[in-house]
Amino acid sequence: MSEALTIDRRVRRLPPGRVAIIAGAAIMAIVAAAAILAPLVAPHDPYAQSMLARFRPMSAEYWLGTDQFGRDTFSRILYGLQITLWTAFASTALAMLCGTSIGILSGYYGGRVDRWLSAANDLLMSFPQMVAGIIIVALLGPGITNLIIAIAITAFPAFYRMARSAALALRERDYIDACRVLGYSDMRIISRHLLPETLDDIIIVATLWLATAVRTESSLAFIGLGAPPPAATLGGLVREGFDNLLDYPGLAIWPSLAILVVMIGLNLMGDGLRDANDPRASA
Amino acid sequence: MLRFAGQPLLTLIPTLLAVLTLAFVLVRIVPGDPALIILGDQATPEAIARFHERTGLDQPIWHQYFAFLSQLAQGDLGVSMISNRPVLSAVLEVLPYTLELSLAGVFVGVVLGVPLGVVAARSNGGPLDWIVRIFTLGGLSFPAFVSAVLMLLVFSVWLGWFPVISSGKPITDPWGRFMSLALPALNLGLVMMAYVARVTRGGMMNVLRSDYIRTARAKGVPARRIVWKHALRNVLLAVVTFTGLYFSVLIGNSVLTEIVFNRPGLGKLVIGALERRDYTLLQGLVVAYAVLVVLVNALTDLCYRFVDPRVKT
Amino acid sequence: MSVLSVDNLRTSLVIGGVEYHALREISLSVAEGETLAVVGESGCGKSMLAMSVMGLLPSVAAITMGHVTLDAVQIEAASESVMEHIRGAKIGMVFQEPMTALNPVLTVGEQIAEPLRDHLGLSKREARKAAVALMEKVRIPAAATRYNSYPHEFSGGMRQRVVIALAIACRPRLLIADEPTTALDVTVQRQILDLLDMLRTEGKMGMLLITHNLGTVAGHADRVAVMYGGDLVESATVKELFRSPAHPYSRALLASLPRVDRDLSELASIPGRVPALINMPEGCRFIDRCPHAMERCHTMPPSVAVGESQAHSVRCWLHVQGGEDAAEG
Repeated sequence: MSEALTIDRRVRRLPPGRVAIIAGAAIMAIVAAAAILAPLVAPHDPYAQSMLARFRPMSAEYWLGTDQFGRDTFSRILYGLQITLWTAFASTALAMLCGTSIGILSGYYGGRVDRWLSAANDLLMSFPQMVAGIIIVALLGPGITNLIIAIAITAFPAFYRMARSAALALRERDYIDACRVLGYSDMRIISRHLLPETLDDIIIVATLWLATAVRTESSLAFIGLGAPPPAATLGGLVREGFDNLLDYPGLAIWPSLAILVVMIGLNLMGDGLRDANDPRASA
Repeated sequence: MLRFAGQPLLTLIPTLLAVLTLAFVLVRIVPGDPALIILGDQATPEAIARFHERTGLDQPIWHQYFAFLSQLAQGDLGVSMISNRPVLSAVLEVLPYTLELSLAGVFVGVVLGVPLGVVAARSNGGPLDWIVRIFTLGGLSFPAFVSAVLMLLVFSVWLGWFPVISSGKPITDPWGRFMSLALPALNLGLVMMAYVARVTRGGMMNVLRSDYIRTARAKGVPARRIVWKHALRNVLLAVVTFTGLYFSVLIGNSVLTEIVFNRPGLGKLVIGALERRDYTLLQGLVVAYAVLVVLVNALTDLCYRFVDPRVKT
Repeated sequence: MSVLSVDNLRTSLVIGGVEYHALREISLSVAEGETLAVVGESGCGKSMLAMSVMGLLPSVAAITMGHVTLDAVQIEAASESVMEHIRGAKIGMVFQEPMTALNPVLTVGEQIAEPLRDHLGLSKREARKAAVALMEKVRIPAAATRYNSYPHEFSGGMRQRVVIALAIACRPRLLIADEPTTALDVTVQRQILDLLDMLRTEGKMGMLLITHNLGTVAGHADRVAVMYGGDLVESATVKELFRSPAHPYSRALLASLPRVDRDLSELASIPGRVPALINMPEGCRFIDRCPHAMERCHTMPPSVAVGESQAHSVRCWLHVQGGEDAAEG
């Protein structure tokens, strides 16, 4: 019957956000490939200085020109992507692991510890995240590991809060009670029921926080608190370019565009995932 | 009026106390003796002892804590470890610049973002909605320093419309002050605009589905006024809430904006304090930021009470 | 003369590219000062009818056939800007849910005064005066001081009075009341219905009273239209319908009613429910639940006059010559 056919078609229609997810994933796949394969793809050694090749314009040899030490901008951007993506990924993963597990335990068991933890969390959340990042990195000292820890601390509250509220909501469900009655251990209830149910939300938050982590990392690098030199970082490249902005604007523009591409890719994915998961968006 | 203004402030006291404690602890968990960092490792034991005495570091920790709090209660943030200058006056000197910048940024963000969101909601899936969507996606993707560098390059260096260095102009030069504020404020505002537009669009879609909008249509209110008066007033509630939450992000962006545009402000002071390892100044700045965020939250609360008749009494 | 007449109206929904008839060939009229009750279970198309008349159909729905005539003017194809001058001015509407029908951030006075300024061109001051007078008319105590109150400061019954005040503000010719008392306490229901009666008589308005409560019909309507699945299955005077219901659905309705003030939602004697729009049968839509279903019921039944007066009509094959004799069934 024609009616049945049309209903079928409605269900099979592209879910909202599918296009955005695919576009974002494609961008990120290319960027990630370029970053991982940087040692193979980069036409030059990103650290090789050459006083003879300072401030070269764009050419077949130096695709995006060179900086004040004669280093190839394109190669430095590729290596910068590596650091940026690794830092963002590692810090988000760290925040996700700690935030989600502490959040779930806190919400699942409740009580005084939960109240104190969530109060402290709200506090951390309300303090300007960028300022917190700057201070933490400065106090911990330079280095990629410290950078990852600092960014993870600023991202922790978002995961904690989401996981805690999910655990709170689930704790009230009947089937969790049923599991308890059946004598399942708390660990089993959490890992078999709570975690799978919150996984979608965790992934969405993680994607969006990846973008924030990239933003934080590149901002810190711009301020001079990123991976220590001579490592090439995208934010650091923008900073170096900024110092020569009047004469060689390209040095600031190219790494800026690289950051933008990464941000747009991640935001597209996060946006799409959120839309696809929002029942209201399809109405 | 005074009563309901005072009530949220009162509930903020525990929050404030917690932040103060955090600021105190933060500065004291730094590995190493600040005296060695500041005086250098060649410093004589006498010099170190003198430094400890001057900064109060020779006292037991709880003693330092209460001294810190009681000084604070008297409005004293201590003196800089480096310059011996009162921290409070250093903060107050640049605070107006940061306040001016953030408020102007919020203004730009709301004034541009709300209409954009409304237009998108009215188009709902149409071409304008998509344009706004792509536009805001771009806005969300700009780290504040990237947009700042690019704006500086385009509008100041290439087009020459604005001064390249927007260092603090005195209030006696209003035009110069405005021009030096314009680009940094636009930078903060454009990034915020993207978020505001999205919040507005989402809120508008919800409100336009509500019963009271149907009532307004049933009494023949023209479509334009339904959107801009009946619906928008309700959407603004969400925008106010969002602005309060977003303020801490905005403050973070203002640090980067101040650096790029070389504007005086709390952000530049933080960077300076970190570079010179001036821990008392840093401690004072953390307090300043916390107070700022707390005050803005109180202000948002107040705004909310003003826009939403339901939360009175 | 009739204030509202609906002729052969069809309203269609387009879902996934397929057109469904949400209202099929509806004809009815409301005379000046008269109350026509529209009854039926939820999902029968009562509200869809109201929205078709108001020109407030959702974007997936449209009138695809027939006419809506208000005061001798055809409005089914009127533009949005024309309808903006008709809604609130010529047609007032009262809704089911007074708790959410008013804008929470505007004062009630402002909301009542708005149509007065829009449609009657009153100045701000005049509109305020008129709005206070209206609030007094719908018996809101201390009207002048409550002008500046917000909806959340009012009880449900009081809010419904506000909604009524703004619906009748411009002395409309037609008042559509869509289940105006369903959400209210029983004691308040009476007051609101009596108020509507009083205003209707005084303003010589025609009233379309949408309800699923037969008690309301018996006490407050002159004529009834019974709807089922988007069809108008029977229309008659209240007296005639209660005395000799002709359509099997109407009969079942009344039979399931030990007390007249009982809601149709408690209906027990007809098994089944109104089919969803996408599963509607081709012919008579009551076919699956009807005890008299016949082969010819698979084609749409015509509307026939029954009883002594022309005012009683039913859409059912039972009453077409050659069918089973229904009156004894």
